[in-house]
Amino acid sequence: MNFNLENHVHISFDAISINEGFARMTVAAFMSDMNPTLEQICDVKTAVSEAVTNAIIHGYGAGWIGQDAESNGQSAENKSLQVEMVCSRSGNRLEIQIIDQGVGIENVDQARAPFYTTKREQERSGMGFAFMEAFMDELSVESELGKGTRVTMIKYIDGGNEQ
Amino acid sequence: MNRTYEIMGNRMIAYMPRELDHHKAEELRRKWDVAIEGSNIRELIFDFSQTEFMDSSGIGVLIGRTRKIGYFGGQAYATGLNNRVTRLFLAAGLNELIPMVTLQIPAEPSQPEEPPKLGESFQSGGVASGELSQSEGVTSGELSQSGEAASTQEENTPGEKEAQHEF
Ligand SMILES: Nc1ncnc2c1ncn2[C@@H]1O[C@H](COP(=O)(O)OP(=O)(O)OP(=O)(O)O)[C@@H](O)[C@H]1O
Ligand SMILES: [Mg+2]
Repeated sequence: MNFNLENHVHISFDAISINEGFARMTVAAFMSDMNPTLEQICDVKTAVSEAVTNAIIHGYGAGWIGQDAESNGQSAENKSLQVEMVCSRSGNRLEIQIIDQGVGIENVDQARAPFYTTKREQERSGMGFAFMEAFMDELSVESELGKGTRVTMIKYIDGGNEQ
Repeated sequence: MNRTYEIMGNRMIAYMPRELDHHKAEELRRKWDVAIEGSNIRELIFDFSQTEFMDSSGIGVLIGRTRKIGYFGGQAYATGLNNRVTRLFLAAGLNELIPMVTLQIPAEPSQPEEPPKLGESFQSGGVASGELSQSEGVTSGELSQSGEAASTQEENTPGEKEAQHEF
């Protein structure tokens, strides 16, 4: 058991929906040597999927077919829109940050409430933050309008497979 | 190539993918809508027997298709959900909109004369039991406080609600 192991991975990827699966696989690989249970892997994958999807569809206003992808995101200018994922492990503590430089959230408390969504017309159900909160041990959301959003999630991987 | 749906008479079976996220939901939404709009479907069955992962985007696409079929006077059902998907279903209250049922899909679906009778193929037993025995019981996530997924699953109580539905 490598309980004192420190590890950090920082990746950045295009804000397109195919990378949601990439982010899930990456985080599953990152946490694999923490000896997680399948349930714990699935919890983290779900939370990461929610945060990355939010960055793409809300932060950058992309990913809804039939609408101008840049309509409420920033103008694409020359650089592509990027989502960052930072995975850190310290012993049995797993921390994941999902960061976008998108539109930001006006009222974070309101946004975190279950069933709250600003995109009902795009078939969003408003459960994303509720799932992140339920499946991780800690969730914090920092956001500034016009600057972007950083979601930080922590999960303690103990009681895992190797104990 | 995996089938994404199948239409038998008034019934459409939507085959849910292995991982139902936003990316997959966008693709399937369009395919399913074309199918729903082009047929006279009264029953839409979401078959989750291949699905290992779903997130809130899956919930959105399910609600959307269920509404759509509702406009045409139809009803949607879900079958083959594993514990994980069941937990999300209950947490979002989806089971009230989309009853979870057990469905035996006929081994030989290629009999075009008449679609299988609902009374025969549905059992009001809640979630498909074959799926359930595959995975470990639902563990104590916070979500179970709202959804009671863990306990309702094992006792099969969701089925009691479903039993009221006329098929
Ligand atoms: N990265 C982000 N940038 C800007 N706004 C965000 C971001 N993440 C969330 N939001 C806002 O918070 C709201 C709630 O997010 P949440 O994930 O809970 O629900 P949703 O994404 O609307 O629906 P669902 O996740 O069920 O598909 C969103 O509707 C959006 O207004
Ligand atoms: Mg969301």
